[in-house]
Amino acid sequence: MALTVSHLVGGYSQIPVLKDISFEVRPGELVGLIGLNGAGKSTTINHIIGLLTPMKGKIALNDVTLATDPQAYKAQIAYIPETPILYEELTLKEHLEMTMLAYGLDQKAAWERANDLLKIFRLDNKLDWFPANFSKGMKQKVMIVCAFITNAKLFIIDEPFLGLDPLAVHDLLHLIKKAKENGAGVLMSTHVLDTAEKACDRFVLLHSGEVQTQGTFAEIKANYPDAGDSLNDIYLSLTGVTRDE
Amino acid sequence: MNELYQHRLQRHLRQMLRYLRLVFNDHFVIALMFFVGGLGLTYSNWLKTVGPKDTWIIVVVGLILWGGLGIGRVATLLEPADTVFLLPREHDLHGYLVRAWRYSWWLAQIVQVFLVIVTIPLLILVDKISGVALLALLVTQLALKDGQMTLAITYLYRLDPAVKRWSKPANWLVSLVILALGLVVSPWLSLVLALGLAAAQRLWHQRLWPKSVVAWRDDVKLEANRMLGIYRFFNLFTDVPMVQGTVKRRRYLDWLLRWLPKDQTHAFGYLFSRGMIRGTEFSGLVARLTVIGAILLYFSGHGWLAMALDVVFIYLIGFQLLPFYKRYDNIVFTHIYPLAVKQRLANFQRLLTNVLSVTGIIFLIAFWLSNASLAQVGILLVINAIEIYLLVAWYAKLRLA
Repeated sequence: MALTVSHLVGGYSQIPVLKDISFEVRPGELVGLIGLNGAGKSTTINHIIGLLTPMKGKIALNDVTLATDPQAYKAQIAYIPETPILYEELTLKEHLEMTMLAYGLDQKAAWERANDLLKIFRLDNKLDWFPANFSKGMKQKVMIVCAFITNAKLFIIDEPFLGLDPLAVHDLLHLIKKAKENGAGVLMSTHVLDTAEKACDRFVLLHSGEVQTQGTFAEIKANYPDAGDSLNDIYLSLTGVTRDE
Repeated sequence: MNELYQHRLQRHLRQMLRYLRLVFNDHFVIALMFFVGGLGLTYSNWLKTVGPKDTWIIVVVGLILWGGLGIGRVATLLEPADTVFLLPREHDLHGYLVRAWRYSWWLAQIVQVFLVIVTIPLLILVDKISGVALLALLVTQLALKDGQMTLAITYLYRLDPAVKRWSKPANWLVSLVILALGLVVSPWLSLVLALGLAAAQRLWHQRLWPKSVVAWRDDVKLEANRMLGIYRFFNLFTDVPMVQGTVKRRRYLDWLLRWLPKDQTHAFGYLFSRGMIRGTEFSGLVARLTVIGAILLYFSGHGWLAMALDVVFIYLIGFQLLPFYKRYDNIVFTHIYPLAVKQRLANFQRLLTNVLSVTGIIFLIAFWLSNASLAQVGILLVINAIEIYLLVAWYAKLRLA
């Protein structure tokens, strides 16, 4: 069991945003976290990466929790934020080196991985540049490279598809597939439902801070036979938002 | 649009007033009064030695007046969001800019009047210039500034690149020629020419702007730079949140980084050291205080005063560097790296030790150069070592942990 979230209640202030959320991400599995703006996706992610502390419930990663062994917990996670976050004073090469140092990676093996990734995302000739000045898509690629040079057991990817060019989306999906084959779990939040429908193994649908439904696409479809054929249709009817055609 | 500028100007003035109050605090006003008084006294003493034979002074006056034309820019008070929100009302922006021009015009001309007044005694002493001629010269100066301000407004529109390249240098050159004619030949000639130039520039502007588009991005950048200059000035006296340091690559300092250990326990050190060297905010602070401290130390003899200054400056630098510890708190990765907070603090303490040691050594050299004996240098070395140890191991930990 890679990630287990059980009965999580949490949020930023006294008022909980998340109301009793439970789901899991198994090794070798890509789970899509789907929900409207404000449904609680980012809050869930912030709880998992340890920026927020649960009010109730438990988050465990291979039986380690943040409370029992924070360093062992954090070492298993790689995170790709929705908006790229970069150090203004570090070059691209130094961003990679910083990640290697912080995660205690073997430099030689990590650089081999890094060089492959840099080539895929066509960043290999920009090692001495400041990525803070890159375009949004390129910054996002830097985030992807930094995340995938780690040996994380769980990748958390927040809305990766907006801002990336189609080639990069394809390459990212391929990287996720390879990470899965190596036994890592991936939790990905997204609004791009048709890509998610094809790529994700299972889905967790959040609505107003609660898990509305979860399971494989086939399971969800079987549960809601009248809701439609695509994830998009099912999701729209599940949110209960009725609108004129 | 007219109300918009009025509204922004009020807000701008309120803000300036708030900062000016901080800058001109009691101590500074007293110091400034002494400074201006001393300057005036020196100037009036020097004037007594000036006579009609010192004709070179006319050249200096000309250059002062010419260079003085550069003081005073157009405060457009444009904001980045304007490129989106005001875009549909681009034509009306001219009214707004005229308002901006009017406000800036008065401000700039007051400075010009002051500038001419300062040079009047020189002109009377050297040139025996008459009162009416002085008035003509004053109007010349104001007309030249008027032309320059009109050109500044014209520049806010997108001009032909070639025109844009030569019109500003041409304006400066013509201004120089007019001032030279005014001082050497006749102020009346320069008066006519300057008024002609100002009128020509207004005419050109009137012809040009209805057919031109606003250079939004350049204008916003220009205004941001203007404000940054003002904020930088205020930042010398107080903390201005709008002044964020920039980043410079500083490749020539890379050799410093090679000395530092590179492993998991020093990951934050890797980040801190690069941030310290390449960010201008904190490195500038250290450099400024170190240079000022070293100069003061050198000139204050080698007694207790120098030692006290040394202690105060090292404390000041160390104390002001403490916020750097939180420099990367808004970067989520620093919270999710599998690194202990203890390591982070230890890495920061190491950086603090390195920076303060360099400063301490520079101070010791300045102290030694002021003819201190080796025994005195030795005493200061011990004092520095103890102070840095206390600052880093005790005070920094107390404040940050």
